Amino acid sequence: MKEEGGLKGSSQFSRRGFLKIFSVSLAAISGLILGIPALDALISPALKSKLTSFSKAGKIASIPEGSPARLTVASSSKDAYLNDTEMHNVWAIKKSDSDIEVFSPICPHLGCSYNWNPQNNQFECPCHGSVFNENGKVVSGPAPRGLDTLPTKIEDGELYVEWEKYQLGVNKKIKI
Amino acid sequence: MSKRVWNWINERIPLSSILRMGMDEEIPGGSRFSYALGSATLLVFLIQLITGVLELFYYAPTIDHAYDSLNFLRVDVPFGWLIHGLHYWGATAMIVIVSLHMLRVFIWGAYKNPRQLTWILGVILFLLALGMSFTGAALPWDQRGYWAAQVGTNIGGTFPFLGNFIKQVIRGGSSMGQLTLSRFFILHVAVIPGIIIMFIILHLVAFRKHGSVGPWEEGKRNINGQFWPDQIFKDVLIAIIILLALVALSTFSPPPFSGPADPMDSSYVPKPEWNFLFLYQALKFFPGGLEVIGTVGIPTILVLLLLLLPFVDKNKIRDPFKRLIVVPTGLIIVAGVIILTIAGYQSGESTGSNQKSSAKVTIHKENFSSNDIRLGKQLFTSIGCIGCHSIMGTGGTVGPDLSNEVQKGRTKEWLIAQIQDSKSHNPTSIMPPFSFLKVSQLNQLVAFLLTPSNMGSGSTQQITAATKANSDNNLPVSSDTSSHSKIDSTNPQSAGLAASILGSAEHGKVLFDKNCIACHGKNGVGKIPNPGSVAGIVPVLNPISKRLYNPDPEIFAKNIDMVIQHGALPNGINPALKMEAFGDQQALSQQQISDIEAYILSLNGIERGMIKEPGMKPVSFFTLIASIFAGVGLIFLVAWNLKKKK
Repeated sequence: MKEEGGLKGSSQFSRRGFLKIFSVSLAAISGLILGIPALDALISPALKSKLTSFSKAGKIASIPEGSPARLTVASSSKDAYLNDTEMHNVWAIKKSDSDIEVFSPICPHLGCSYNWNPQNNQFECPCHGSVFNENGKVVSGPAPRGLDTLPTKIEDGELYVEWEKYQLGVNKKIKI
Repeated sequence: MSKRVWNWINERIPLSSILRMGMDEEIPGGSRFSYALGSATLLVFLIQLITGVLELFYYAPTIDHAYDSLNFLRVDVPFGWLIHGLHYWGATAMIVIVSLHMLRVFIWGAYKNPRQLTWILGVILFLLALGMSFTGAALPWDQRGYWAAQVGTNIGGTFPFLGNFIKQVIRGGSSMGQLTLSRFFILHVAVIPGIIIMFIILHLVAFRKHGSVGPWEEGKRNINGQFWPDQIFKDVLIAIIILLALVALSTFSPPPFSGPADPMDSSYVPKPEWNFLFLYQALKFFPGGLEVIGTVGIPTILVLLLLLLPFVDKNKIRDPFKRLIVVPTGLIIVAGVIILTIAGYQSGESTGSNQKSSAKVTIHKENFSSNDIRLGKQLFTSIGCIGCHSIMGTGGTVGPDLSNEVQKGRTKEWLIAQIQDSKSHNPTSIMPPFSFLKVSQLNQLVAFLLTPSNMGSGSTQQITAATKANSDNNLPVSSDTSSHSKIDSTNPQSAGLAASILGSAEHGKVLFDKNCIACHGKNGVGKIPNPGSVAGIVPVLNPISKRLYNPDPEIFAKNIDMVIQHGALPNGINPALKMEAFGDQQALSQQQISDIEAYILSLNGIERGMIKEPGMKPVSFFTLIASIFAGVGLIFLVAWNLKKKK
């Protein structure tokens, strides 16, 4: 292995040429082996869509039937390695144990928090006077669309709500 | 076209001369694999540089996010395991290969005139590499790194006169904290690498100026080899072996998760990085006032010896068999370092300031207050003594009955020693050490045990009977035992911080054996009786209830976190034992809880640090690249032989 270099002109040249090709291609393959994972590590997390998840809102049995109930939902958001838990109030209208509608507490007009007025049986927004009925439909005021419903699911007698936000001031419900 | 571009470039910068300077080099005696160590060092440096920069894309150098951000890279980022694994093992490879490189230069006598400066530059590079190893180890801000940095900076503090000044400047303050991490971070990613790159260039220029030294036997020196491609080909082969080895280590022996740094946790035994172990071990020979010999004296002497070597060993003889003083001395020092490293690796104790966790107990001579007796009685139940010991007819039968401690002649001192560490009286005792109890709690417990009127409740007989029945029946521990317990309703039903921390199962076992073993048994399999509860025994954690189990480590950890944080009260008339709210009562720190969670997960076959986004499974990745290299090697081997035949 050591001294075969010799002094034979042409065979030495071809041997060296061969070593050159071999060295360069092995180096290139090694580069790819490290390069592809490196690119993957940088690119694919950036393209991943953010996962949302359902948070527990309470036992179905404890939600009163008929009039809207204010529930607290702890939505935990994960931004890379930062975990954050936000508490949100949502409005739940229980028609039966399997039929529960949950409204986002944000008025679709300009984002104020509205309230339930039990005397008039309607939701009223204090900011600009939008009024919604108990199904979330606009009764009066400047709101461009009805109240936004949030995705829900029911498991083992517990209500789960997925916290989402929607674009304000437009007549279609567009998730942001 | 390419020629024209090449010429155009070369008219402006001398690229081809630079290349020629780097590549065209005659090697006296021909190329050799043993000469590849220098290039191998450079290769590992490049791997460290690339993987280090990639880690920076995800790492956050703050004490509250460093550990989580690194684990995010390792678990949630595709090939994050590979990036961190290569960097971690690359650091080890660096020290090993640099040492071998130095050893080869030493044996070949390659530091002699005119190459003294090449050697000195190399020694400086070696010291800089050690600096990288020291600062880098602290960056994850995990237990390992934190304590290694703690001990390391303390060693700086033993320097005569300037010690405290040095320590505080390195730490950025009198104690370890955010500023320490910031300093280590900047040193590791900017200052030291910058200096290293500068010195590598100088080292290479100095090397090229005088070329390879070649064999010491004159007879072997007349055949010449070429650096490019002869030596580079061998360098590439060695490089591939190193690369494969690093990937294999990252795959089959990934860096451990040692849990986030917890300055309050005295149960962690700090050990330095392996490359400093010989010093750590040497320190043990210099106790007390002599310590400075080990911390400052020995390292200074070693560095001076390395730096002065070319000036001490000046004659022209390069044959190692003819340098009868220098070579054996050098090899003895190397052997000493290796032996000390191995001894340090195997030793378990810490040096210098021993941090024994057992609190010093002050003995009060006065009579026990009724309040102490009452609190002691509560403790007897809440910390789980009653699970194993009966008193006045109530409690378990695993340990001896404790109704007659006064008659047995037990003193307060004896009992406290027994409770803190039962092995102090009987080395075969299976009683777990209750070393976490405070002095006041120990006094209360002893007050209760030494008061003859420590009556149990009225329904004792009944409960004992129930316990007996259960243990006699040898109830199969069904996984739903714990479904009888409900989470303490006074507490918020949410998981704590610990659930999102990636703890260390290994350290979790240590903590489990201290805090949990009394009720849950060794390895969580114990069926410790819990008189008065419906289940009759403390929930078994191995295997754990199906209600809490989840294959997703994060959800699993969250489930058990609720119980550890907020405690639980078993269903039943009057359960003797209940789960304490270790988090709410701050009996354990969040870091410690995360370690215990990792341990409980591991008992149930779930790895807390399971890789969620591997990019490609580590084993498949390793198999793939190993087969690629094997395939390419085969192709070239065949081509080579075909060419030879022509």
